[in-house]
Amino acid sequence: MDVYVCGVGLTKISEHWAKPLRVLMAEAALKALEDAGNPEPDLIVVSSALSPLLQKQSHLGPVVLEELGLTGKPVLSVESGGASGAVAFHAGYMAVRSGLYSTVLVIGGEKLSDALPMDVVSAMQNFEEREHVSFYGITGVSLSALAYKMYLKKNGVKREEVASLAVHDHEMAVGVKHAQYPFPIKLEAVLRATTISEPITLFESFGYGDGAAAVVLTSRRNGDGCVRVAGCAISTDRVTPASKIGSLSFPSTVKAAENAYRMAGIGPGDVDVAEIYDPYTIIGVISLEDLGFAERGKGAKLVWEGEVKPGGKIPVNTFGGLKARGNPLGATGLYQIAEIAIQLRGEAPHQVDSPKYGLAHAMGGFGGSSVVTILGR
Amino acid sequence: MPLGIAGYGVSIPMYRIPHREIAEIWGRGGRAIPPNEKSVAGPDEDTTTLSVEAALNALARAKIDPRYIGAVYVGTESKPYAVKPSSTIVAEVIGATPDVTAADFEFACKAGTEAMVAVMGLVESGRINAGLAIGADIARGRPSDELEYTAGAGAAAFIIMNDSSVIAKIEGHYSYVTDTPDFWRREGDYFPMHGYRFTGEPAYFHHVISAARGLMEMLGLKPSDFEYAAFHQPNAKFPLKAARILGFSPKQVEPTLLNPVIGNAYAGSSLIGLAAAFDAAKPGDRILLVSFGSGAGSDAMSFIVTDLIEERRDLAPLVMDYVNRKKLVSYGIYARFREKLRR
Repeated sequence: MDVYVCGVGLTKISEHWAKPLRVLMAEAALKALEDAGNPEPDLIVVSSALSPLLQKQSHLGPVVLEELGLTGKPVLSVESGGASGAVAFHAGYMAVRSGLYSTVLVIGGEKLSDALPMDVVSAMQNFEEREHVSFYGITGVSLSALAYKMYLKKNGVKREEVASLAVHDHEMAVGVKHAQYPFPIKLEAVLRATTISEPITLFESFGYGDGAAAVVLTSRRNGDGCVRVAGCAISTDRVTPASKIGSLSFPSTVKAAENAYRMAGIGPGDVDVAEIYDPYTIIGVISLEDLGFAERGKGAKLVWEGEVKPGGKIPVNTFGGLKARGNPLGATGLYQIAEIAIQLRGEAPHQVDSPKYGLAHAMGGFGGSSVVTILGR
Repeated sequence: MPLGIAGYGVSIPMYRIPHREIAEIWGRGGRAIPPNEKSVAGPDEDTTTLSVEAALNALARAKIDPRYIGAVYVGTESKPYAVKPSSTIVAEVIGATPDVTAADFEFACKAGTEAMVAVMGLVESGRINAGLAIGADIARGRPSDELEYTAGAGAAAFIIMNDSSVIAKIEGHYSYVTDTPDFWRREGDYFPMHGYRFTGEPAYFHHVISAARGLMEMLGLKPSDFEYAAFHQPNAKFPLKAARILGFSPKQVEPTLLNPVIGNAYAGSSLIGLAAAFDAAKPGDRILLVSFGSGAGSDAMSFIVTDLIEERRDLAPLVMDYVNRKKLVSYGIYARFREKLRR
């Protein structure tokens, strides 16, 4: 049975000081339902990466349903680190594909501004295995910094080439209503910004923001706005990241991509537009290679040479990516999928020329899990 | 008879520590550090000593007998005693006791303007002839915290009367208060906590801007009607940004902007800025004051300077006299003075 994305709803990523998480999620959900022509969902899937830690709110599903006035409906609550939204999408996809449900509303949300920055950092640390990794204080940014240094040395690449992904993201966010930072930045500013974990600067890292995204999945194409889910695969890897830094590759991404391509019956060369996971520039660069868009060691070149812009070899992050659109963790995967749907509808501010296939890639922690979703026209 | 300020005075400790010195100690030396300094209270200074000096300066300018003062209110969040008023010490030293009401006010950085509002009410109603309102603090910032760069010390005192001998008329006042927990210190804690970026847009900017707009609307005034504007100064950037949003030019704010040279004197911060405006003002000038206290709220007031300013101004030291009287100290000396090393 085919599955379609028939509605998307996105809130602006910002510091929503006065809105609780459940309200943000309900806002995105109502927008998505309206976009889909207000169908009645028979299943809801909600995702958030950190609500039990930052909002002290577990059991988020019924809380969001109550806000939406959908109490009584079945709900699944999903958590899978930074890939939470994409995993929730996968759950909705399975539900429709199995024939058990015909209309599924998937909602992802995150509110980082409820907590102090140090508490957000320590909460995100737990995307890695607790007992042997995060306990010792290693963070996503410090792991990425190690990978960054090795990548530059091994491939003879200049820092500017990797850092230019942040410049690209910001250029793409201009005119994007839901983007957190919809303005351009200069490469010099990226390189000169405060160092977070050498060599990663503040402007090569995602900023903290609040946001919610929702999509409506259906078993029937009901209108021109619908795009087909061509493939959706999850894969996992060891959650002890030391082994991955040396290989400069995330096996979970490679495997999820292989499976998603096989489901869709296409290869990387057939993808017209992609949203890649780049909480730090280097992770985006490595992901370009893991997804098959660039040869090993050539990901940064692809960005540097402008091949990731609309009109280039593989346009990526055409709404700003994690850097400029923003990265509200548990919602990010759904923002990406919604953006691919908008591209395939032909309604993007930086529209790619009549795309047939689009790909969204999300990752949990430092590659402990990855989700690759392919949508088709 | 106009309600107004009969005398004003400030006090700022002589010691300064540069931001660079703090940054180096905490391993942030690599960053571009602005050449700012903050005032550091000496080992024998506290909120009451600073308040007394500011009050004596205000009395000198007001040229009144201290026994004429019917209220002494000290606004501070760094009381030397948890239980025992600072205001009684000040009232006693300046000679205002015993026919006086005295109390300490607490509203984070706007305790001083809150004290002024209370005194204004007592004076205007005729219950007292003159009242003394003080904003004073020796601010505490946790070592290595962002606050440590700016948490300074200082006091400003204002004698309020309903009398023709005022140096500035109080044209109006408007307060804007909500429950917004952006900065706090719990009972028993030594250093305050803060909500990082939450202290900005939903706290400082929302309240400062709402209070300023509320006052201007009430009085039918616009930014260009003011010669000077003194805002609360938690850092060097916030007051300039608030001014820009409200439509004030940097020229109106810069003469009152003391954060880069003395840091944030908490309850004394906006009030020392107001005193600097009085130091610079000509008769007829209109001055805007907007405080901000975490928790949170802002008091906005408008003053019109009278002819008396010219003859009263030099009866006590100016703000810049205190700013220029300075001695740099190392982090070590600062740590000893401010009891960051606990024996």
